Amino acid sequence: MKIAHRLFAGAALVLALTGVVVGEFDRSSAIVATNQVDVYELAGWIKRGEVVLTDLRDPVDTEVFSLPGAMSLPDTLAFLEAEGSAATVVVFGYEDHRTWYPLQSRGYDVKFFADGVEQWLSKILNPVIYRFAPEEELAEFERHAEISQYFGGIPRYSISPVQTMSGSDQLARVRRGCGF
Amino acid sequence: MNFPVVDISGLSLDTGLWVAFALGIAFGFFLEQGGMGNARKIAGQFYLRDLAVMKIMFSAVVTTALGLFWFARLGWLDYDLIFLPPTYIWPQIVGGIIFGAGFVTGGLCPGTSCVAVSSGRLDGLALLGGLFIGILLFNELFEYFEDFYRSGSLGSISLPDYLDVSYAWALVGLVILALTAFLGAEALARRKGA
Repeated sequence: MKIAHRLFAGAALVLALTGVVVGEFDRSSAIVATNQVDVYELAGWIKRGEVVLTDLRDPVDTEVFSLPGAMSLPDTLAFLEAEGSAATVVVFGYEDHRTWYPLQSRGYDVKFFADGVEQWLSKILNPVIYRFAPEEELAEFERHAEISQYFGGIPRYSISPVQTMSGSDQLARVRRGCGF
Repeated sequence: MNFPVVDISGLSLDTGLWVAFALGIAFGFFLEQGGMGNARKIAGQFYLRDLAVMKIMFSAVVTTALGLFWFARLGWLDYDLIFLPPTYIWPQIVGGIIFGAGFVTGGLCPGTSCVAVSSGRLDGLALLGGLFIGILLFNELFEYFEDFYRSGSLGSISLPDYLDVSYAWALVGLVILALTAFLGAEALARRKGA
């Protein structure tokens, strides 16, 4: 092996082993876990007009259904720039923080709605609970019923624990035009 | 979606495109300097006659991996902003087989065919023509294999994530693997020379 090759090999090994000694670098993707907002908190913010919503999904999906007031990323950026707003922006639909980095790089406070459209459908627009569920669960359900009704949801009590439709099934119904 | 350079570097879109153009020129220049525009040299990799392709690619992989780690460690780069293509294991295995067959048949890959064309080689031009025909056919027939195309999704996953080890230890493993490959290539060359 030529001298230059040996030097390269040695340098590579030293750099790699030194990396183990100095430790790992920080991962900014951790912000996905720390900046999340749950569906009821988000519903409250939307009701009070405290957030700007950004739907990161394909236009094919956003045309079928999206959260009230949600805009695409380019429209959000244009809106925020035009309004000069410093509002909190809540993004949903794609769990990759690189996608909404254009918002963060411009200094906006960005939260991530991990539950997504399916959870909005199942917990806000079509919430269902087993009639004989534990009291704490029933009490929590009733607390959230008002916000559900604000958005046109119909809270229901099921006579069976299994008679609930998953969020993905509800979205499929919306796609077929069945509605609720 | 590739992450826009403009938001990482703070450059305007136009400047970002010019940076990409300059990087592309540099990439092509060094590929040509390494002999990657020569179909015989590339095909020699598959017949174990000339392992330059392996050495060049492995050197590039090790250099990049070390660079990414240390730039991230020094705070010059946000590692999580780098676009990581999603892994679809089954279609990518099939695509790799098709790519390998084309590679050894033509002696060039899509990138090196551009290098060959720039050097005035007609085989590169032929391969580029085949490339565009293949792209056209893919798009026309996509509906028949779209389900397979989207199967086996593992998301945007890296080797350290998949092996559940730190990036640094994965890097050590990679460097050892590369050095072993280089030593093996030299031993093979000596044996063939003998």
